[in-house]
Amino acid sequence: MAHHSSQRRNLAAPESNPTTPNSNPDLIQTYKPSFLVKHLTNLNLSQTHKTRPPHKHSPLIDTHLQAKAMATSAIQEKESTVPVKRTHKEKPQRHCLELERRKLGDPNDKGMVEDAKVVKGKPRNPHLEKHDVVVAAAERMSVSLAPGGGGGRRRSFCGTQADLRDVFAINGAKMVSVDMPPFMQIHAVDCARKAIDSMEKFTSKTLALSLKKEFDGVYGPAWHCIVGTSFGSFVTHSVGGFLYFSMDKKLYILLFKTAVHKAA
Amino acid sequence: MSEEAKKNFVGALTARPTSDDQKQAPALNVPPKKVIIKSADMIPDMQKEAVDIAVAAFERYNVEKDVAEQIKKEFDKRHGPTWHCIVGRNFAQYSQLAPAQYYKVGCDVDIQGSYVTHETNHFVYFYLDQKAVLLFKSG
Repeated sequence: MAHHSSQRRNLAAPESNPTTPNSNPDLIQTYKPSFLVKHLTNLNLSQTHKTRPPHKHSPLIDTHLQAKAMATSAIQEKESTVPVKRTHKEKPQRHCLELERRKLGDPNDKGMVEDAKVVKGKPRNPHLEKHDVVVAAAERMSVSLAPGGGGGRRRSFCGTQADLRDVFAINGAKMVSVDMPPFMQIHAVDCARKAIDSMEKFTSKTLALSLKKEFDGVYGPAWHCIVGTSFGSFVTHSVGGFLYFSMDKKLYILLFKTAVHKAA
Repeated sequence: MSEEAKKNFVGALTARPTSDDQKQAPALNVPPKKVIIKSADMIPDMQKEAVDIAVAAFERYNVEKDVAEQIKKEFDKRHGPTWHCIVGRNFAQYSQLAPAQYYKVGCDVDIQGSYVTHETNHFVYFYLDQKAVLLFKSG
């Protein structure tokens, strides 16, 4: 009983805080992925393209939306504490930003090319570790924030929030701690649900394997996945690459991304 | 530079040194705690260090999260970033072998080598009484 109530508190306490900031961006991208999971990357890009026919303006949309997420995640990026038995959360910020040298692709490229580049690990931006779309954000932040910030943000908030809730409710998932764009959250939950349903006999290791490989393949290495019913952890993760959620009220899944460095 | 050179050298010697030996380390405390190293890809001195830090952390903290925090911070301090630690009674993790395997298949030789080198000799998974501790370096 005590353990159960403790878990309940854990679920309730951190849920509201990290969810709100991350639900602001990516209304457009959030809508499509909830229906067509397997073609997430392509649909995201095509959707962005449809919204703004000129190719030059496509990164602007992503730039703006991602910029907000990036700004929010700056506080959480250094270290993330995953509380399982405690309500209190600690987020020490002593460590420097992780550097990622060879996992960034050109944001102007098409989805397939982008994935290929990310997987091959070609160098793009040696200073900050972030998703390739955010690279454009860093370059154009001052320009893109001004025009559509307020209105866009307000309009997208309700839609994104509702969409996330629907997906999570269907899959019986609850977000405990998040530093990840909404479309990736949906991707993770859908992938986890499919993996669980396809297993004749459930094993945590198989689910972890499935999730890690899926995310390594789609978003580039290196992802790590921990699945279980009773564990605590302390990890350092990349910006926008952290997700800790529960499914079926007792299974907890930790998914996070780290940088890949050259030895020399 | 010299440290990295040493790491590369050690990494080169061991192709895939992941072992599944179930060793039983000697008891460390007066009230003896059972230590079983389930899987290790780490030099023995570092393994012992990890076990010692874990024992001390378990004595000091009761919450798994705090134990994990203590171990990770200590290793970040002593052996440089970036370490990750998971402590608990029920969890499975897929991280160590997959990246190496993945890189063998799909990446540039340069990335493959450096990544495997980083992963090699920096992974340990052991039981301390009823708790499991996973400690590895990545990034």
